[in-house]
Amino acid sequence: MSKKIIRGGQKVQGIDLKKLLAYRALIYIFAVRDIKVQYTQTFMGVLWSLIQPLTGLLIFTFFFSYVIKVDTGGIPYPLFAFSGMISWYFFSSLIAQTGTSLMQSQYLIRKIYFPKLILPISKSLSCLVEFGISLSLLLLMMLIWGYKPGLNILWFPVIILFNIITGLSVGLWLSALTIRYRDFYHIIPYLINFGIWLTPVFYPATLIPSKLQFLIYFNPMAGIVGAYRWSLLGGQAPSVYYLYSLGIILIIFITGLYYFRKIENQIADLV
Amino acid sequence: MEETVIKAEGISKHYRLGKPQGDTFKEAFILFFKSLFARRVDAHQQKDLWALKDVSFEIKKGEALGIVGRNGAGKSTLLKILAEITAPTSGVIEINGKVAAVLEIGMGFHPELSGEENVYLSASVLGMTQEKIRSKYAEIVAFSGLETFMDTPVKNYSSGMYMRLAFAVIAHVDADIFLFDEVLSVGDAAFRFKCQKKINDLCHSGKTIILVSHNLNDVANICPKSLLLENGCVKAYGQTFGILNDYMEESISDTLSDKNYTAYPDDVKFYDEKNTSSETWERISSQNDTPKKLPLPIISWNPDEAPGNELFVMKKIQVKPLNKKFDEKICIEDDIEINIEFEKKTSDVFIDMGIGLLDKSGVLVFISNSKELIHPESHKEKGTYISSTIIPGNILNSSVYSLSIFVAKDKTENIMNLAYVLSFKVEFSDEELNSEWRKYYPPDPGILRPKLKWEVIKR
Repeated sequence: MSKKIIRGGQKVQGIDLKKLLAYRALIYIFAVRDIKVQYTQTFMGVLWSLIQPLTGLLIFTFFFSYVIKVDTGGIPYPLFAFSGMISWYFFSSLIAQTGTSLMQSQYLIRKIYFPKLILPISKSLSCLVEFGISLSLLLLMMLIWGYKPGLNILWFPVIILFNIITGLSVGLWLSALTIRYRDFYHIIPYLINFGIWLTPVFYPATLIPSKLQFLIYFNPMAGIVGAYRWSLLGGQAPSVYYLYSLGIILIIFITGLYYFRKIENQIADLV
Repeated sequence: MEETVIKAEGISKHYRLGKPQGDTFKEAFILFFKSLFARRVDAHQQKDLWALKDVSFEIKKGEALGIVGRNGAGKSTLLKILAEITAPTSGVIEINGKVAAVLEIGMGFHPELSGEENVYLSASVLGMTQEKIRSKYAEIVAFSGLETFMDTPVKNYSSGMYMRLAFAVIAHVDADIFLFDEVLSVGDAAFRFKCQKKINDLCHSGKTIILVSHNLNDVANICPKSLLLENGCVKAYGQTFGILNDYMEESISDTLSDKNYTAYPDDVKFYDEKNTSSETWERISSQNDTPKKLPLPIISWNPDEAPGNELFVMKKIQVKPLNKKFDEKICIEDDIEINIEFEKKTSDVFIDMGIGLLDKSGVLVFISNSKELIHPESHKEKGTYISSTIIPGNILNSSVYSLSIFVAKDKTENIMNLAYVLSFKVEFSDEELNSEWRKYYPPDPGILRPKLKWEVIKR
């Protein structure tokens, strides 16, 4: 029989991986629930996650390729933009979903016990599914344009991992902070709407004046978007300076985890 | 069977009340800079609240414990601590076994999903594995009786169907300890009956139950033992029937003392002559609290505050044991005398008084009035009248009863009702308390305790 001791006034230490593993079924169940809920009662179901990026792509292709004529270094503009878009959309849905995960599940947090970390994790899983759908669309487009990825593709899983970590690290901070300060709830749309223009998604990083180039290295997503293009479409490898931004992300990720754990036990009293 | 399943020692939970510090980012930002200069920031703005204070108890396997108390007594906080939803500020709890905390019916249900999907969702939220749910799925559906609706989204369910499905999941959760918070107070009588029966079954199959409820009957039906919480402290711990009496008595005495006319009579002389110390009415007091007592069952009104109308005005109502002093305790065996004194203001009608006797949970036990009396014509005259009646001994149980007064004009027209004017307590006689058999039998439950004649014949 399982034995448990609850002690008052205990400090939280570390991340209980064993406990997380014990609750893995719940992670899966929540992720499946989110996906199902998103598409029940919609006529086109999963197609929606293709229509949204595609309409965006059409509009941006028109403006950047025909009106402004951005130099993409020989890569067809739709491929260039879409490879950036799927990476950015993945990031933005990660922060939007994980960032609000605690707020959205308040009713559960108040009523049952589970490690709260499973909420952002399960949200990441459901985001991953949507990402997979857009990724397969990109692969289809590459096929149409006759692009065969080179050996760089081997790096692709690592790049996806960093994409997830980047999104999660921002999302962890936001989810923990929104519990105490609802202000952060309003920050999320700004982050997404403005962030896309501060990241070379629709234009190449080389378009930025060299005096301001260094600023882009502070944006971790700039490096990841560049890495997506490099591993899928080839071309110039992202600058080594982006490693700084990876360092920043790892710091944000670890502190985010720590902060999340710190307030985890108070969440039920705060929501 | 004697294995201890939950052992809680000195559980306390502290909350900060008032405006929380830095609830918005702006405030936190300002506070951060303030804190650079001041050691304690606005500490006086906060009030401390101990939602629970030094609560200890122990439950053995297969026991059912009721947690009762008024709103804000800390019942739900205690349950949340046991369910690990919130951490105690201090204290230690040892739990042996898997806990299923049912703090809400239909927990984890999502309205957009089908009944089947929600069974899986809700059961996994309650800690069941996928294989376990799959193996019990047919049973759950059968219990709910919703076989044909399992593909329908739950949002299209009626609230009755919703609760049936939700409870079906709960009833099949695989756990050793069940925590229920007010789950039985939802749904119609049939649903509640089914729930109670199922919870009783769980209990008999060796599961441990903790039940928080406002519905005292539910607690009494399921839990032989109860924990009475008041302001976060354990007020009483033991036999449910005894505790429910205390609990109700207290809320009645509190409610009554809110009203000015329920205080002791203003008739000072009356009190100076006879000793007002009424020790017999006092319940066992706990160290945490000032002793609470039910006011003496006498009300006398000031003429200007007294209920009444142009025909009559109430003066005094008294309940006392017949042939005993007014401040002696009323025993089960005693005939109980009820006197209603009133002033008749006009000379053209008859006024009849009636009583309604209510038990501690507000159930009407009986009503009685003087309508059947044939009044002499002189009773039409103005003046002070006393209507009195006697409830024979050996009818009422040891419990708290309340009186409502019904006033009728000319035997036909009910002109005024005074609900819950006064409460009185019927107690065990000293002989009974000291008797041998009382040591082995708990007090009999029930609204009444008539002395029935028994006979045993051998055939």
